[in-house]
Amino acid sequence: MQRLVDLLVRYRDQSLFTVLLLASVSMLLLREDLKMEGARVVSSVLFAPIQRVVVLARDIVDLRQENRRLSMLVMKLAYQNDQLAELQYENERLRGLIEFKEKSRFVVLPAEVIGRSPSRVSSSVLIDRGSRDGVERNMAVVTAEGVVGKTIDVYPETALVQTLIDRNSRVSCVVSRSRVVGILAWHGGFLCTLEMIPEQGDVEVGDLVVTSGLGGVFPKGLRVGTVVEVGAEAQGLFRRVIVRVSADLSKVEEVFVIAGGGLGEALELEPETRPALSTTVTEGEAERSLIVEGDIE
Amino acid sequence: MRKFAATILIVVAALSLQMSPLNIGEILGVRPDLLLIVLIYLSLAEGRKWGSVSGFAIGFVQDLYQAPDQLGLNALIKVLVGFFLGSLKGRIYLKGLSERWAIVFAVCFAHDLLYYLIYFSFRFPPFLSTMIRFALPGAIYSATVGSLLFILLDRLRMWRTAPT
Repeated sequence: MQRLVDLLVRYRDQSLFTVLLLASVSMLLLREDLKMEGARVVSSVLFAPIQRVVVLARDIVDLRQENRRLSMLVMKLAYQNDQLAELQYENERLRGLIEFKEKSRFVVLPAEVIGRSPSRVSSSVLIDRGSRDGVERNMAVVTAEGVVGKTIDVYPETALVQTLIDRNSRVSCVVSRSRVVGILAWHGGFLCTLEMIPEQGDVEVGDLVVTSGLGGVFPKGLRVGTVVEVGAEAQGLFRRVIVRVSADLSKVEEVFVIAGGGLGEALELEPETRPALSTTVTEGEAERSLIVEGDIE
Repeated sequence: MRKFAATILIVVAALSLQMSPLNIGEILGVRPDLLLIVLIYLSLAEGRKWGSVSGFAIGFVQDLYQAPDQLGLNALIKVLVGFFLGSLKGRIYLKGLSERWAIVFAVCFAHDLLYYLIYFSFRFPPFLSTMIRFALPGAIYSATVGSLLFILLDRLRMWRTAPT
């Protein structure tokens, strides 16, 4: 025993290296649920405060610029608001006339990206909305440009979002022009591949790809990306379809979590139409919830 | 104590910048790997004990923050980097910018090579695509930033090792 201790002391650097190496390998070999649990506990305790400080610093720097921009926007929106009020009146009158069914409302939560994977392949982002805000696992996360990903891990105040360029991401999609259905998976870089497209599938470069609504996570009709390459796969059974995602996943800062009203149902939007976002403004407004309107199938 | 506090400060600063949603210094989706640059510096300056401990700590924190299914991967590779670079303490002297650039480039590239090889479970199409798209330009970028950052870290080191 004494001899072993002497050896450890004499080769302490090597011993320390071996212990750390074994600890790393042991962590790698842990069951996935244990890894998730460990990361959940430490992330919520360790990273959220650091991220909040970083975000606070950024906010202070951006405040002046944002204030100027918002002042301009208020003027512009006030003008648009008058026009919209007129259009809403006209819309209600016409809807009554042709007996449109009541449109269902689709609640989304705005959230801010407070962290991202330090890996240069940005596979996940951390947002400042969590279970206390009503966020749950497997909720769709979007921007005005298109789908960002889905929540894979939810903490009380934050949530981890798996983006479309994560190697484990799979999203059921449809080519909007020809209605050919495929599975979107990461291809490399900022490109994805639309898998399981049959050889005779009608897909062309420039076609818009939207969510199919089949997976139960993403509502139907959300913009995902554009086809940039079509070819034949080596095996010859399926077509090779490469898609560039619409949302700029390297720079995404503000996102919307689809938090209710849509799961299990489907948004029916024109494929070329982006979701129209409108703020629900209330007296003494504290809620930041936004409403995306769309027909429910 | 001063040395330990300064090391923690450097690592936390690098971590905050790396994790920042501002994408500081990002060019065409490529960012310098500040944590690896700090690890290279610490290992070469302080030896293999500090190198392997810093490598493990930095890698572990990085693992926790990234997708949890990779827990241990960064820690493993950074322990290796820290230990082997620490073993070179006193054997190589990085005085010139070009020498510093070369060592940071070589280490960053080797680190990414090993990391992505395991990350993609030896599947070569995504591995090669990522190496070309991210690792190679990332290593060049990190080497450029790192060789300049070393000057700043040299000054900080003089302060933290100064007698109190």
